[in-house]
Amino acid sequence: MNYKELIRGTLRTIILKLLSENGKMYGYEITQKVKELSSDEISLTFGALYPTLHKLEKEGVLTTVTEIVDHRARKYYSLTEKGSQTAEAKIQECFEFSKTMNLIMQS
Amino acid sequence: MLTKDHIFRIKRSVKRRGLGSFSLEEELIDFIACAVHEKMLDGDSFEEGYRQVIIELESQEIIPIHQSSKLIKDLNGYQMLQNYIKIAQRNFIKHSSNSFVNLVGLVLGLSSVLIITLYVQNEVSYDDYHPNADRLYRVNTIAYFMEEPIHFSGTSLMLHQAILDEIPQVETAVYKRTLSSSQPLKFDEKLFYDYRFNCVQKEFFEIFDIPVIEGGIDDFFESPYNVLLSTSFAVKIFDTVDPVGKIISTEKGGETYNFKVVGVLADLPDNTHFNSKWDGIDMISSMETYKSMYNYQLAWDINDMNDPTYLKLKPGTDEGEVVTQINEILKRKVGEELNYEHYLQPVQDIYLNARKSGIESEGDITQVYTFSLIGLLILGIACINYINLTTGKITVRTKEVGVRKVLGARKNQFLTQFIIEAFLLSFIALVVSLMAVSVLLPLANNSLDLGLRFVFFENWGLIFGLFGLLCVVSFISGGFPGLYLSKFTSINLLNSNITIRNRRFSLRKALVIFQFGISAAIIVCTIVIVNQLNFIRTMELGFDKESVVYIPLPHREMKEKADVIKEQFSKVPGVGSVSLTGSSLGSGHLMAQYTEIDGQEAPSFQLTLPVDHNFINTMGMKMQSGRWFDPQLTTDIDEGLVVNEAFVEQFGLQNPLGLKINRSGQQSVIIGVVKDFHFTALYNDISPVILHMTRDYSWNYTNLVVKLNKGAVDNTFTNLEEEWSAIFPDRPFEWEFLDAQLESMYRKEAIFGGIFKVFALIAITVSCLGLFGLVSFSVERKSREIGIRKVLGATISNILLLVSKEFSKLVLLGFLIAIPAAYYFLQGWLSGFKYRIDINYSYFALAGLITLVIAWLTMSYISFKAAKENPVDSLRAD
Repeated sequence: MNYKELIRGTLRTIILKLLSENGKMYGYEITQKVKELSSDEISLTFGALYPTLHKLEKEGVLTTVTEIVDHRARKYYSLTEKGSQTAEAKIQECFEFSKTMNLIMQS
Repeated sequence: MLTKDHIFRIKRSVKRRGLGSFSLEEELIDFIACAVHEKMLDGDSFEEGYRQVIIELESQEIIPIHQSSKLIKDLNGYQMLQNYIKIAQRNFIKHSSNSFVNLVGLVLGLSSVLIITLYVQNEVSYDDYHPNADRLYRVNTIAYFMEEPIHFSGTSLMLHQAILDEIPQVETAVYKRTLSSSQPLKFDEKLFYDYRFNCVQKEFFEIFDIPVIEGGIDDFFESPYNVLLSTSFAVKIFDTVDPVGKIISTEKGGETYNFKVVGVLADLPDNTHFNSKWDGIDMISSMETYKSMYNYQLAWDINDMNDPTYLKLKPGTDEGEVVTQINEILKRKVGEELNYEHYLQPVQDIYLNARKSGIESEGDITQVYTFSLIGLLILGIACINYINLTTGKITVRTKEVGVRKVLGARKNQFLTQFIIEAFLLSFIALVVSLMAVSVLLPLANNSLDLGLRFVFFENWGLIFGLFGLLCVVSFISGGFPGLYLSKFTSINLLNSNITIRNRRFSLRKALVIFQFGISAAIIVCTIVIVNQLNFIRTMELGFDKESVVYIPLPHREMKEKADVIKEQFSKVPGVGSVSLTGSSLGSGHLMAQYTEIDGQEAPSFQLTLPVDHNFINTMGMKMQSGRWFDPQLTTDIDEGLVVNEAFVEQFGLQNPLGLKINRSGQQSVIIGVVKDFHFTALYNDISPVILHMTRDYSWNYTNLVVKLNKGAVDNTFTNLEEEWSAIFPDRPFEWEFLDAQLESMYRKEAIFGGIFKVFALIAITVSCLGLFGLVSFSVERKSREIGIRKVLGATISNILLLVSKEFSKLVLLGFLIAIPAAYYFLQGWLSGFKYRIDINYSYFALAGLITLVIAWLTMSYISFKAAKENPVDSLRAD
């Protein structure tokens, strides 16, 4: 299925949710986790994921640590203090939203 | 498991795609590696997995990757800026001589603009500090007494009240009566001369808003003999004592008048028309004081039109309408057969006189325009240097520009980069200029008597103006090279064997022509101006001006003492000859008297000069025909007249001797004709003038003129002063050399010439700096050609010719273009002088020679260096 349109609005929330559950994660890991949790329905593309990550980092929501793994640099993302609060609020917001959407869609 | 080689392959492929950001690339590498690793866990080979991942990425993400890299670029605007600054810095250091040339050029250009701006600001700021200055006017008079109409600022003292009563568009009208202050003021047994005493009404303070520092003006007008003093005059009299409440006194006609000081006024700013010798304000009293002292009644009297009337019009009033109404009032009050009328002059225009009213002004609007133009031209030359040197520099910076192009730099980025570089350099230049100007301004003030002030942080207009100028300069000087550069293809830029070919007629050449055209034009102007000023200075005036001293006489005591002092002075060693006379020949004006000339239909006003027997010897004048006044013939005193040649010519007299003339009621005959002499500045033709003797000493003999013998001048003055003090004990001994007076008539021109000299120097220097830079680039480009020529036997002079030929043509062309422009300007300037030099070829030839020689000297320095170089060095490299 092509969720592109829908994902665009919720990508930030997805990232925040995953990071709040798992602590630190790197980019590819995030795409795989999303794939796994959505039973292969949602696959994040590199081009969609990284700009969002960078934006969040610039906003001070995320912080990064670079480690050398298997001859290459790997950048781990994790939530900052400010990020944890944002994450909670965003997740809550998302729940509310999907409840509302359900009401509309099921009527 | 991915090996090091695998990672390396991924890295290479990612780097080749160039995302524009190192950190993004690193993440993409990790991303791909992880994906490939996954495929390999599923059993694929590295090759297969890698291929699939890349296909996947490319198929979905060509656009997203592009977008993301763009996003990164936006994030990195700041980094780009840093990069531009760093590159600018490196280039600055790497091409330091070139940068120095640019910097010096810009500093000179900006400093010129800065000083000129200060000058212009000062000139146009005259009288704009008054509240509602744009509605203030002075009533001027144009009188038709003589052949040429005369303009002056005096009006009747009745005028202001009539205007207030009858013209509703006038808000306030005031006059200012200036008292002749030949009597000293006395305070505490000390005497004070030379003060400017004015009588005004209350509204004067409303119109001109002169702040009261001490005391008050509230009860000032209530009783006569109250006075206000200017701060500087108060300090002169009272020093540190509080002046308020003190009494100062003066004598008039044997009576003593006591003035009570009720307040101190702030000194007027420098930029006011009240600053002149006659108009200034040292002491102010009420009109009641004047009436009481002089027993004076206001009247419409043509002989009593000495004082200016000022009007403040209501907003939106038509000036012409008011003028019509004023002249109608005049006709009603004075009579229909009026031989004068009034017009209005904006107070703000009194100093510069841009409207060209007939009254001579201190400032000169043409000078303001001329200097503004010159300032801009010099700045233009400096900008051209920058443009030329930067575009010239691309031949040296081709590698950098090429690499930037290959990496995808676009036109906008080139523009940004070059504008930033230009901005940095101009900014440094501006800072240096500001420092230079604050150091040099006092020097300029001293040598040219400009009186400019430079307080940077009060002058917000200047600060914003300069910043704006900086931006404009950077855009012009950075924009051109940026545009120029972006036109070349990267292959041309990177291939070192291909040099950028110049089109036959390039922008750069046009700019060099322009630069040298301007420089040559300014040089021509300077040469002609300096020659004209020398011409004036050395012109035969018809009298001796060397070692002649004028001493003003106190006219009230003349009757008894004039002959005494004349005799005493004649006895002083070192004095050649002493005469009693009227206005100084260096003052620029003579008295006019009502004259009836035999054979002429109507009486007229003619210029007259009171003289005595000695005058012709004292001044070294020559007779043309007839005889001079004879000391033996007492009838000569009343009935003899000597006229000048212009008089004879003007009235077409065949036989002037014996002609009867009635001068102010005195019947006389012409006994001689004196050769023409220049008693006004050389702007004007010589007018007819009547020389006469007189028995009425006090009103005619206002000066004593002394011709000194050569040598022992200091001692002579001490002796003269002793004699003077013996005869006039409470009068200061004042004197002035005639040649100094004559010189001061041309003060404005002297400043004009001085400034031109400086600018000519700056213009040619800046142009040569540019030429220096261009020629060094040209030599750098041609280094191999020069090497080969040398190997084949070219002499040093051959090389010199090779290098300078191209630029000499440009300089010469610029000079040719300059000729008509300079000629046109100089014609206009010289036409202001009645006596002037002709503009001939020699001035242009001289200017051309100067320009070319300076240009050649500049070029030959570099070409000589290039020619001396060992050809091995230039040929070996590559």
